[in-house]
Amino acid sequence: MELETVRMLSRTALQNLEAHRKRIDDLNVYPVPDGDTGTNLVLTLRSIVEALDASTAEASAAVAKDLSRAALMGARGNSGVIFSQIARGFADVLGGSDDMSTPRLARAFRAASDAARSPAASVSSNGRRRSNSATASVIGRPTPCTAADAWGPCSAWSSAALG
Amino acid sequence: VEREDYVAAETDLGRISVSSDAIAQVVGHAAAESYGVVGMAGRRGWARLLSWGSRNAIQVERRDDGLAIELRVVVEHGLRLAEVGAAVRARVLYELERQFGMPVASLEVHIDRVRKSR
Repeated sequence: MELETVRMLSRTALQNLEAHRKRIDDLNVYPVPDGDTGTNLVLTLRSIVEALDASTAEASAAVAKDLSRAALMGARGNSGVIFSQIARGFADVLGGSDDMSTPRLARAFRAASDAARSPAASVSSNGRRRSNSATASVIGRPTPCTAADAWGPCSAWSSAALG
Repeated sequence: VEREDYVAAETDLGRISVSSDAIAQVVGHAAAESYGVVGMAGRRGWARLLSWGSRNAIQVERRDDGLAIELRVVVEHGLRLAEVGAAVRARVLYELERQFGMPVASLEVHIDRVRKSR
């Protein structure tokens, strides 16, 4: 996991989210229909981008740590908190080396999906989590991510990484 | 009739009232379903996953200006606590408004403990 790559992924994710912020805001009906999911995700990603711009990490593990921390500290709203767990799961796998091959990315997305699953036993599945694990399955099979899910960062990260 | 119930509606035929237990249950469910909440305070083991009956974790009081609610939750380690707390708050308020339409005078969310579950 190289700092430049992660910066690029985060910037692309931010751009995608900014472009679809309104749409995601409008989609937001659960659990509280306050219509700020897109805004919260944009604020979270923006804060991650800023933290990574300031980062001086070199080793892969240090980059992963900075990404996890940036996501944790920058989390805004419920969706931001969930996203911080997605980023942590993603970073945990990719922090091991600079290898960003497709199988490894698939594993990272799987870990991201698992990390984001609600820690409570009464897990209520929601669209966000499902779309994330759908992306992992899509990449798991060697087909291009069609980003059928409306969920920005996931498709942004995968499409940016897969070229 | 004297009781600790909240009158939701009054008609010629009688009134419709809601007990504070019912309100506490709604609060408990809303809190327990919030992302990052792994239990209610004051309970151990499987019982803490159950929101009902956890009276020590949820207090509902009636005030002239509305309900005063206090709840204590256990949150997963490694999450941004302020944001989890805010989400619990928003969700509880939303559910109370949606289900009872009662004014809430105060809502205190205490993060009682942080637990690492994975």
